[in-house]
Amino acid sequence: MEEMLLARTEARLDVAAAVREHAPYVLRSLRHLGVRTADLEDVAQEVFVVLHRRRADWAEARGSVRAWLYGICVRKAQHHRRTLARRPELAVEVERGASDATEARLDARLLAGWVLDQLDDDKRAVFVLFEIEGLRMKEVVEILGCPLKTGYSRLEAARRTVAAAHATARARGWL
Amino acid sequence: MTDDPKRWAEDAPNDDLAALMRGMEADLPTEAEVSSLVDAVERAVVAGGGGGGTGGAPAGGLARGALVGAGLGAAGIAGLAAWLLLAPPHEPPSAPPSTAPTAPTEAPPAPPTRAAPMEAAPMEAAPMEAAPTEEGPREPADPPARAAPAPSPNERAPAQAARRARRSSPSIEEPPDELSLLSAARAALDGDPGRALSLAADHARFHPRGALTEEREVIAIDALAALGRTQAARARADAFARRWPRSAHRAHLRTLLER
Repeated sequence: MEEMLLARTEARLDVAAAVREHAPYVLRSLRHLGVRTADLEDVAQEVFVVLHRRRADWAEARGSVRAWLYGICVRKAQHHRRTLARRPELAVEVERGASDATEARLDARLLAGWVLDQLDDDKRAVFVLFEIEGLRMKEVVEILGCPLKTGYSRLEAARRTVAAAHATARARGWL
Repeated sequence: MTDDPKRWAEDAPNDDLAALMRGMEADLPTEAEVSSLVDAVERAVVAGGGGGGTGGAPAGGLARGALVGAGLGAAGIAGLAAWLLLAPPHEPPSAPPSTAPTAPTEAPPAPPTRAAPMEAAPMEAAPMEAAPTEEGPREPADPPARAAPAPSPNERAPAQAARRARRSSPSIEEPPDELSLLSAARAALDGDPGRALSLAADHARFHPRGALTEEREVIAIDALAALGRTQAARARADAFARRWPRSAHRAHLRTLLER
């Protein structure tokens, strides 16, 4: 009987190890890809359940687990954003936070969220993976399934938007 | 690939943007957030198993690796539940396990959905004898065994180790491992539920985020019921149901507390 208990313990430790290894950048990228704080753990959990379910796929795939997980994160986050769009009461969190902060400085995380929210999904994914997660553009476009050229032009456009949003934030006294 | 522009984190157009990018890059989850996520995923993936069958069920992958590898499969989970359910303390200790009335196969197959909302915090603070105050850092998932005292084959060893560790600083003494503690606790249920309860409390103390927390709680509830502390048992069973709404052990707990 103890063998069963042990086997189950090991299965759990396996899962725990995988989550511990990948959780830092999974949670970070989900947040920057637009998942709201309140839903972050739920969405991250979905990501890891997918990892668990399809571990045979990535074990044989050429790419790294990390690249593969980013792909899941992007899809889950975009799905989450579409859900938010249908439930506008959830989408205003950052804007409300921002307007509450007209006198005080904006919390760095809130500011980052507001700036990134000015990007559409495609540009946001490129910006997050390239600029924050530090992937090469070649990896980014593989994950996103778009041509390299498109990746570069999205990055350019995203950078312009982010710089403009940041300038706006400064003009409003948020930083 | 060397056509990539320099990242803003390395070469931003201005200091503000550099600071913004550094802040985003440094926005990593806390240890508590990671642990909470570990719990949630475990519940969804491992504890959610048992029914088996459906191709994409989360119980498939990791659990399959460990359990089928050992020739157990879904029956292994059910068997484990059975092991915990067998010979409840109300039965005479001599009752052969095969006569236990519980049918592990009744455990409802957990659908592959997400686990319940997080309730880790209240759970860890659950009513517990020798209330485990969090001194010392959380154990690593796989504690090294080097500093452990010479192991005794005797089944009281974990309890002794636990007592030793309680007296001295746990950061110096190696905590007894989860399996030993709970095996001893389970063995004690039959004749000495008080000791079972105390060993379960030791488990909570040494392994506050252990892999066998669910099993620990079942044993503790069994022990409380055996001691006639029905109210405490019920409260803890309620907390259990909130934390593991799809647990295969819930049927057993319901039966236990109906008496």
